[in-house]
Amino acid sequence: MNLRTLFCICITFCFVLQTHAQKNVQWRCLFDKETLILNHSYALSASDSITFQVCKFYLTALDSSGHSSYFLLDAEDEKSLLLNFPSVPKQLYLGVDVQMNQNPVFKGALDPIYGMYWTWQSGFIHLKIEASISRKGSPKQKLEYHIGGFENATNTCLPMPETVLSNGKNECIVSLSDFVRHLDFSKTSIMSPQPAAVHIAQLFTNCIK
Amino acid sequence: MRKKVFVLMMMLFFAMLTAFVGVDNSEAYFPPKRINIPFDQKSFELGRLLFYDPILSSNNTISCSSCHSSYNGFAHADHALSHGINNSILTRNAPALFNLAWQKDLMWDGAINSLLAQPLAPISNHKEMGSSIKEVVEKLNRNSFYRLKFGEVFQTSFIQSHEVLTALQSFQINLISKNAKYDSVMQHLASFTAQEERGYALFQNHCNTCHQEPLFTNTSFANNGLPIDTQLKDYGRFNITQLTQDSMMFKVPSLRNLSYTYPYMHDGRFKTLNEVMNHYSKGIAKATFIAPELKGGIALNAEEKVDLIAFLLTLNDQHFLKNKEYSYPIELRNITK
Repeated sequence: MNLRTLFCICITFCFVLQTHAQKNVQWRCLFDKETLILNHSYALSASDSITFQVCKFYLTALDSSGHSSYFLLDAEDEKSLLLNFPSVPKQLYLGVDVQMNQNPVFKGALDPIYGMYWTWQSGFIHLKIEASISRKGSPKQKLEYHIGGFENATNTCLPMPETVLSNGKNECIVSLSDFVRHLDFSKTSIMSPQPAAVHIAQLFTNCIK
Repeated sequence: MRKKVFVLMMMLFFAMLTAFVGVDNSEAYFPPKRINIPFDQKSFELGRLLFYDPILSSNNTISCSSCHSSYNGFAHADHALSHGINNSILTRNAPALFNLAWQKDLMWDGAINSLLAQPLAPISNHKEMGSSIKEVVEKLNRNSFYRLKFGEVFQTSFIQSHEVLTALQSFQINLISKNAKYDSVMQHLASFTAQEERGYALFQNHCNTCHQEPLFTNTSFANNGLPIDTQLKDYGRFNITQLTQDSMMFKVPSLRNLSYTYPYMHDGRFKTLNEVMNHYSKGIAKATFIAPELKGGIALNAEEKVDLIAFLLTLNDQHFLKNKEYSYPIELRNITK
């Protein structure tokens, strides 16, 4: 075996190793620079504040062989935020991919006991945010976003920016403060697939760094 | 003598060949199933137990069979609208359950796209079973009988949602109705009477677009000209898609087993087939997105209506109704909740 062949084998081996290597990524839900704590009040301005009660979302990790893995991240459950990808994902999506919505399997993270599957109609809830907003001089406002949908115009399973998975990165930040500050609060309750849900999903995806 | 023995041997050979090959022409005129799952006897039996067991409801009073009884073609006769937990009255007529392997979307509005997911709807609806899959799984795990049964089927010591739903799917997907007189005629084992023949011709002329043979549904949705019930305000498929053209569209039901699945329509507004005939001949409401075949109604005189009903009665499948494999499992009586 000459050196050239040995070099080629090494390169191929390293490539195979990398594509099949497990990858651990720590996710953090932050509000400004603080770790998000549910039922804790965060300042929106000098007079307004927001308190999150629920912050859960699904991720679909698509690997180079076309296989999808599903993860449920819950701000309440620290363990759920450390993701162990079986191999380096080729693409990450917010939510559960269309194929799994069309032909669901309710195993692992996709178990409906987690309250992330609609029962009155088919479809996973990709993102669930529940919060209350206090504004000076106004009654408390409830914010309820159960974001889902997989049909064309209302598909809320959205690809994450490539930067989320850039090489060597082992931490992802979900900036809830960025998310909330981009909301116009014209709709404070979205509980079914609709174009407004796609907008919320896009805002959320943009706040993942 | 030799010749006789040879002929007898040949006859025996062909009889055995037929038995081994399992020649079954009954589904030759059926389209391919949309869902193909290999039959698993143990999973079917477990699904049957769950189907008949009120353990799925929060107070152990309502089972799937409360609204889908085997002797009604797995529909709910008498009541226009389904009854649920704590004497609740729901907003729709329980649809009949059979030939589900050929179905695309489930429920009157097609809200559910998978038979596996379907039980989540009645289990969670606060007026139907008033429970949740989480609660059901917890109850089943506390029950030694079910722990044993699930262990036998799924080789597991801890019951999970997917297994509960899989077992229910195994039972429901194997509820197959294909032994009506119509089926015997299609297999050349019987023939229609002259009246049924006339009714069949009328059916093919006026009804077959939506109620397509041999399933007697095209598994799609249609607006069949029913005026809106101003109390229920049920706009059907529109509730799911929010598309104007889907207003008052409902799933086209199969016409098999009509004698047992009354009352008719999504809200059970018609008690008899005569009322249904009268609706299609002179009761069609004016609407923009009505099924084109129904615009102006279906012209049928009194005699033709009788002929058409005579044909529709050939779709009753007594074998399906009396199939003991589908009925209440006696084993269930011995389970303590």
